[in-house]
This record gives sequence, C-alpha cells and structure tokens, in this order.
Amino acid sequence: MIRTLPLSLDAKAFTADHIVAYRLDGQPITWSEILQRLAFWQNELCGIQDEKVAIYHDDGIEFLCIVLTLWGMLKIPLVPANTLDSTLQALALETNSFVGEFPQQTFQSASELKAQASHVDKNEPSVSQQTALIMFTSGSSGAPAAVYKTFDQLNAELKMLEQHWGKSLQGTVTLGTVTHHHMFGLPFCLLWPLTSGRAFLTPNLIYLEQLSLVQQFELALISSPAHLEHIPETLDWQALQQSIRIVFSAGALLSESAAKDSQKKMGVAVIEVYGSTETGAIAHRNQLVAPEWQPLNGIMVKKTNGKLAVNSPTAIANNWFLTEDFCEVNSCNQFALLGRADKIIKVGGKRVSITAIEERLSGHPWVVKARVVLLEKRKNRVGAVIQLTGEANAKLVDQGKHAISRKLAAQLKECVEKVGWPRYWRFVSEIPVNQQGKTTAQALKALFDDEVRPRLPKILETSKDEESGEYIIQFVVPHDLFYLEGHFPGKPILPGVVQIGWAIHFFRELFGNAGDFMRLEALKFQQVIQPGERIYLSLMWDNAKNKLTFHYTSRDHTHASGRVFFAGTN
Amino acid sequence: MKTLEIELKQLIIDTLELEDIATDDIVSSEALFNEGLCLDSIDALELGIALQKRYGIKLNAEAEETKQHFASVSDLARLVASQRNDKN
Repeated sequence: MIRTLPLSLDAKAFTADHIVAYRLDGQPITWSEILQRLAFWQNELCGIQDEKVAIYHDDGIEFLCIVLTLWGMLKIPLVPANTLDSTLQALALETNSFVGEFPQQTFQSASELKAQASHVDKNEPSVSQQTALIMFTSGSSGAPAAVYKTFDQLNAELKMLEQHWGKSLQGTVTLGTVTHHHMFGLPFCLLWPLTSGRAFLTPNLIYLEQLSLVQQFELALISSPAHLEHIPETLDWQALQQSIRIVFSAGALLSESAAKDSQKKMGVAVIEVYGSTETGAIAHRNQLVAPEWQPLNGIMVKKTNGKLAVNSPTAIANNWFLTEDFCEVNSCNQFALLGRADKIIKVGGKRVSITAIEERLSGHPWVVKARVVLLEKRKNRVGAVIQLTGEANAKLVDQGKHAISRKLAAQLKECVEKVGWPRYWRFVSEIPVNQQGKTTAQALKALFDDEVRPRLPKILETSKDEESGEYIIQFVVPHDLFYLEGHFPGKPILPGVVQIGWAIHFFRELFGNAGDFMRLEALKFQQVIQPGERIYLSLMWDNAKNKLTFHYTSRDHTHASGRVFFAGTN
Repeated sequence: MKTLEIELKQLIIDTLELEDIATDDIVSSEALFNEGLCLDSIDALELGIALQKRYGIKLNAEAEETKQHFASVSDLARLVASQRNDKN
C-alpha cells in the first residue's frame, strides 16, 4: 500500500523488523507494527465521505499512521495547530470529519456553518490532486490561516534537509520538544526521520528533564526557544552531552544568551532554522559563528520592498514568495532579519500600528517585554500585556495598576492616536509562548477573557423598610462569577472577602460616600454561599456611628454577617 | 453635588468598562480627556449616549460648550444639576 503514496517514501522498502520509532521507555516500534496500525486506521476511517479530514494526535506514531491512511484513501489531512475552541470553529467550516484527540463536543455541520458565515473566504485555494495536507499558520499576528502544501513541496523539503544534514544525522534518534502539528515539527520530528529510515521517539518531550529517560540514544533534538530559553540547571549535563549529537531550533529567534547557554550545557551549537508554514525550512545559522542566515542549497532569496522574498521548491508560490520579514541580503546570498513588517489594526476607524505601540512601550525602562492585541470581545479596544522589570514590579505593588499603566501610556503621546492606546492592561511574570516559542494573538486575548466574566451579581430586587431604614438586596450568585475560579475546583463557593466587598459596594451605591473604610467587626461566616443560590443581603446604616451592619441570608440559612466602620465625610 | 459626582464617576466607569479604577481614583476636577483620565473620542460618544439615557440630557457634539461640559466630572455634574433644575 505504501508504494502508492506520493511521498518520496515509496523509494523505501522497509523490512518488517525495521525500527520506525521508540517509546520513551525504550520500547521499539517496528514497521510490521506500523502496518498493523495502518490496517486498523483503514478500517476505522473507510466510511469517511469528506474530502478533507481534520486530524490531531499527540502520539507521533498514531498521527503518522492516520496521515498515511488518509493519503492512501486520497483524502487531505487538515492539521490544526491546537484544539482551542476558535481553531475548531475554523476547522468545522472545512470538514465534518475529526479524527484523533479532539475534545468531545458536537460540531455544527460544515455546510450549516458556511451558510451562517457571511465572510467565508472566496479566495481559498483550490484543492488539487497534488495537495498533500492543509496546515495552519501560528497566528502570531492574527487569526491562524490555512496553508495548502503539495506533495512536491513536502518532498522537496525532505530532500533538501537530507542533502544538507543527512550525513551528520546518521545513527541518531530524533526527539522533539515541539509538536508535529505545524510546518517545522511535522517534517523535522516525523516525516524526515521516517523517510530517511532513522527512528524517532514518541511522544514528544514536555520537559527537558525527561532527557535523562532516553540517554541510551544518540539524539537529534528538535526544539524551540520555548525550551532552549529555559534550560534547567539541575540536570547532569556532562552525562547528557554524551547523547546529544545535534540540536535544531525554530519557531522564533533564539536569544544570544540562550544560544550560548544551550551550547555550554548540551555540548553542541544550536542550529537555528528559518522558515514558515508557507515556505517550509529554507535557511539556517549558528548565531554564535555568524548572525546571518544561510539559505539551503537550491533556494534563492532577494529583498523586495525591504522584505525577504524566497524562491524555493518548498514554498507555496510558483516563483517568489514574499514574507512579512524585513531583511538585508548580502552578496553571498545570506540574509539578516530586521523584524516583522508592521502590523496594522483599526480602532475607531483609525489605523493604528501594533508594532509602534509595542516598540514605544518596550522602550520604557520599566518594561522587559510588551505585546499588544486588539480585543474584539471588548468593544474593539486595545489590550497590552506587559512584563515588568523586578524593580517596576515593586512599584506596581506600591502604586497600583492604574498609576503604572498611565505612566506607560504616556510613552505613546504624539506617536499613537489616542483611540489606539491600550485600554486594558495585564502585567504578567512572563509573556505567554506556545511550544514553538511563539506568542499567539489567541494566547494574548485569553489573558483578557476572564475579565468579561461578572464580578458582581445581577440585582433582582432592592427593597427598603421605611421604618428601620434597612435595605434588602436580592440576587443570585452567578455561576460564571470571576471570583469562583479556583475557589475551589469542583466545589465553588463565594469567598468571604468578596462578600465583604459586595456589602461595601452596594452600600456605597445606595448611601453614597461615607468616607474611607476604617475597620471590620463581629465578622461571622456561618454557612457557605454557592453559585445559583438566591441570596438576600441586608444593609443597615447607623449614621451616628458611621457603621454599616450587613447580613447575608437565604431562605433556609443565615450565611454571614458583620459590621463595617467608615471614617465619615465630616 | 458630591453624590452626583460619585454617581457620574460610576457611570463613566460602567459605561466605558474601565478597569483598575474606582470612583475614588477619579479626581472631580481632573480633565477627563487629554490629560487626567485620558479618555478619547470613542469614549466621548459613548458617554454622551449614556448621559442622554440616564438624565435625558441632549448634547450638541459640535458645540464649543459641549467640550466645556465634558472637561471634568465637576463640570458634568454642574451640567446635569442645571438641566435637572430647568425641568423642575
């Protein structure tokens, strides 16, 4: 069956005992076992009608067998970079068939979704017999985009990689810390070792600490800055150096310090690989020797409007593919990368440069890193995610978020239109990166998502006893209340401090300003409050003593009570 | 007047979905737009609509006096109070 595959695999005739892969515990997986898995998947998938089939599987062997089976059925694997909701929605536009480790949920049919979506891309590339698979870009600068790769492009890439590094990889076993669900991991972790007859390890490493499990092998490590920027000190690197033969990194640029650290610990220089979903791997460098990138044999590069253009049989364009990376190309056909082309968003009808905002914010001495994202869910306002220096973090604690964000925003004066100034700020200990070391728009947006969850209950009724002056506020504790997160997993209860906060909040709404908070007295929490419960909050104000007495009750219980003293306004 | 100012500050926070600040953090005399709270043209529109809904105030976006009414929370409070008195 494998002979009919359009991948350059058909040149290989594996024997039944050929070892395709090893499990992390050292157990080998032979070609005959692969044939069994292929038979299993053929049987499993034979009923599928869709031309495109979404596939996601963390196990390299299963993933590979599903892909090979689909190719045998002349189907096109659709490979998402993750299984987040928004990604799955985009997939559901393409297909009804999902194979592998997708979260349990019911999808609307693709046709229904297409009918609903008014903005279906009319320019989507057409599927041809040559289409090997559909991959998605990482979405660093927006929504992930589908990229159609042909068998010729895949074959060209595998051939080029083997020509360049094949000799130095002889006898190695490939081990990835990056997923095979994107255009670096798929060839490097799976297709290249498979077609070259070298074994790979499965599943991928999650932590570099796991390296000690596979020390018996000579390793080709396929990694990214996500791991190499944080190499653990505590491992026995002297011993591990014996087994690490070669290290590749891609996904984002590796910092100089990480390049040095990796070389020192692992004993070999990191080979950085440059490329994209659209181009495949096209260039490499060892930045400790030279910062310029050297294209692989057979690949031409040039500068077009300041940006890097690539002419390669591995790229999706017939001749020149224009990247979004600014560059300089020297006379030896080597190039230097000078940053991404401007990312422009529209806020309030005005064009705003994300790059400019990020550069200005990063220029502040308090800021280590700054990333900015458009928040569609929050009225199309801009959100900023900031990693502060240790010193500035102390200021944050001292002066509060508002004061700090205001000072940072002052950086944007005369450079960014006011509507483009970040409205929402998140100060994080580290900017989130995925397995490839990339920061996706999706991950940044997620930092703002929980903020749309309510922090107050919706009031059902407020009544006042004219005689005593007591107010009774009736509400139901929302299930999606922000404060229930982690308090506690599986058994959500309303935190006591939130109950005090709400009493003061509603008191101020009803009675206005009573001066600063002074102290609490006679605080009692008798019975927990759970989401969904109908609660009566009673508020009594003693003007003479500047004292608020509150009670939380429900039909059957008294839940909590206490007294709050204020400074008064006189 | 003080109560009205707090009410307006809460209205600003709620309408514009401001984060990280409470009514106490807004100084009544401080500029709402350029410096101070740093609101922008989108905010001005939203705030205009909210004031209209809550207090029935009609504002002429072009008028120079509108800018003055929007200068600070105390200016807004004066506007709301005066229009209330007109009605009564």
